[in-house]
Amino acid sequence: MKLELPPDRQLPSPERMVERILTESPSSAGRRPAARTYWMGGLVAAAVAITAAVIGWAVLLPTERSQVGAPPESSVAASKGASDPGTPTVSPSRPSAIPTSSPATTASGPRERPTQRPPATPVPTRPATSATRLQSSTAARTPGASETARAQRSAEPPLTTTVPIGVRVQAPYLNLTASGTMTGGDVYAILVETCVRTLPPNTSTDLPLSRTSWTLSTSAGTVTTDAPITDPIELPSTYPSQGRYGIGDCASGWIAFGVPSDTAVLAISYSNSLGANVTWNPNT
Amino acid sequence: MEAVRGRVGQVVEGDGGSAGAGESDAELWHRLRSADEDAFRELFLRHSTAVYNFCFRRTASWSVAEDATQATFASLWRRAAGGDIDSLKLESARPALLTMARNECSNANRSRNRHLQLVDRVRTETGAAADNTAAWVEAESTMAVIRQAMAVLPANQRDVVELVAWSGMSLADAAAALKISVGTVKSRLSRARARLARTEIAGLTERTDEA
Repeated sequence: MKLELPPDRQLPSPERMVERILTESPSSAGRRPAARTYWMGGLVAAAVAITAAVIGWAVLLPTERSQVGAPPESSVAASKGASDPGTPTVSPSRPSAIPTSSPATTASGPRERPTQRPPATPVPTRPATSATRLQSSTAARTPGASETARAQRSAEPPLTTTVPIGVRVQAPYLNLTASGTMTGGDVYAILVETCVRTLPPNTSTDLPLSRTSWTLSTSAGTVTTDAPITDPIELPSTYPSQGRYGIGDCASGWIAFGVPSDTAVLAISYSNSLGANVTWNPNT
Repeated sequence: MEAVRGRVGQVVEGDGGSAGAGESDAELWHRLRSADEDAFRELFLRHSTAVYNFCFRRTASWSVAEDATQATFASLWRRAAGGDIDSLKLESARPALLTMARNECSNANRSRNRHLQLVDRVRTETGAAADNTAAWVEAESTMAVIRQAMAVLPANQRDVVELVAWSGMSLADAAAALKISVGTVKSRLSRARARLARTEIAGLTERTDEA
C-alpha cells in the first residue's frame, strides 16, 4: 500500500495567533520605546565622553606633546635644525635612547646578498615633499590660522588591529603600511611606510615620527630597532630614524632588526602614544 | 485571508490586503529587523501556514505543530525586538523560517495527551472545522506511519526530503537553509529515494524535483 502525505491544513486563527505573539511577547509594545531610550542614553553618554576627551586633549597637550611620539624639546630643536630635504632626520618617538646600532649606522657594507621576500608594491619615499611641507607649514603658522585649524580638528579614537602584510591601515592621524620583508644573515628587514593623514587637535607642529615605533615579535621575544646587528646587510632604502612630518608627508623605507636566522618572526608591530597599535602578520 | 492550493499541494496564503502585502519578503524582513510590527504581521500571514504544515509533517501532530508555529514566530519576534536578526540571504523568508521551525519542532514538549487536547480543542470549534475532526485525526495517524517509515533514513536525509519533497523548497533554498551545498542536497535526496524505493512511502520523495 502506498501512503500519501496528508493534505495541508490552514493554520487555525492566524490573526489571533499573531496578535497573541505581539501581545504576550515581552519584546512587544513597551519594548521599543525602551530600546529607543537606551540608545538615546548611549548617545548622551557618547557625547559626554567625546567632550571630556576634547577637553582632556586641550589641557594635556601643551605640556605633553612628547606623548605623540615626540622626543624631549631639546631633541626636537636639534632634529629640526638638522633636517634636510634629502635625508630627513627624526627624533625618537619613545623615551628611549637613540639607537647606537641602527641599520643606518651599522650598514657599513654588504656582507651577504639578502634573500628578499618581494614587497607587494614599492613604497616611494617622499623626502622632498616632506621638506616642502615642513617649510610651508612653518610659513603658514600665523597665530590666527593655527588656532582655527586646531579648533577644527577632532580627536581620533585609538586603534588596535592585526592585518596581513601588505595591508594599509588607517590608524589615528596616520596611514601605516608594512609591505615587505627581507632576510639576510642575522638581519630581518621590513619595508614600511608611515604617512601623516591629519594632526591631532591642538597640535600646531608637524608630527614627530620615529623608527623606534616599529618592532618585531619573534619566537624569542620582542625585537626593537635597538637590538644590535652584527652582520648588517645593504638595504635599498632606509626608513628615516627621526623627523617631523606634516599632513600628507610620508616616511618610508626599510628598517633592519637584529634577528638570529633560527628565530621565527611572528609579527610586525607599530605602536605610538596616539593610540595606534597595529600588527601585520608577515606569514600571510 | 484567502487560502489557495499551491503547485505542490500545499496551502499557501493569499494576499491578505495588509499594510505590507505589496512588499517582498526581503523588504519586510529588513523592516522586521527594526522590530516593525506590521512587517512581522505580514510575514506571519504569508508563511505561518507553511510553517504549520512543515511542523505537522515533522511531528505528526496538529497540536504540536500549532504550538511549534507559535514558538517559531514568537522566537522570531523576540529576536527582532532584540535586534538579533541576520539579514535575509534569499528572496523568500520561508527557508529561514522553516530552519527556525525545525529547531522549534525538535524542542517542542510532546506530552502523551496532546492528541486528546487536539480533539478537545477541535470539538469546541464551530462549523466546518469541527466536521473535519475525523480527517485531522486520520491525518495524524497517517503522518505517524510515514514518520515511522522515514526513521530508516539518517536525520540529514530526512531534512532534505522534508524541505524539498514535502515543502516544495528549491534545491538552492534547501541548501541555504541547511547550510550545505546544492550538490549535497541532491546527493542526500538521491540516497533517500534509493533507500525508500521499496517502501510504502517511496512516492513521497517525488513531489518536487527542481534544480
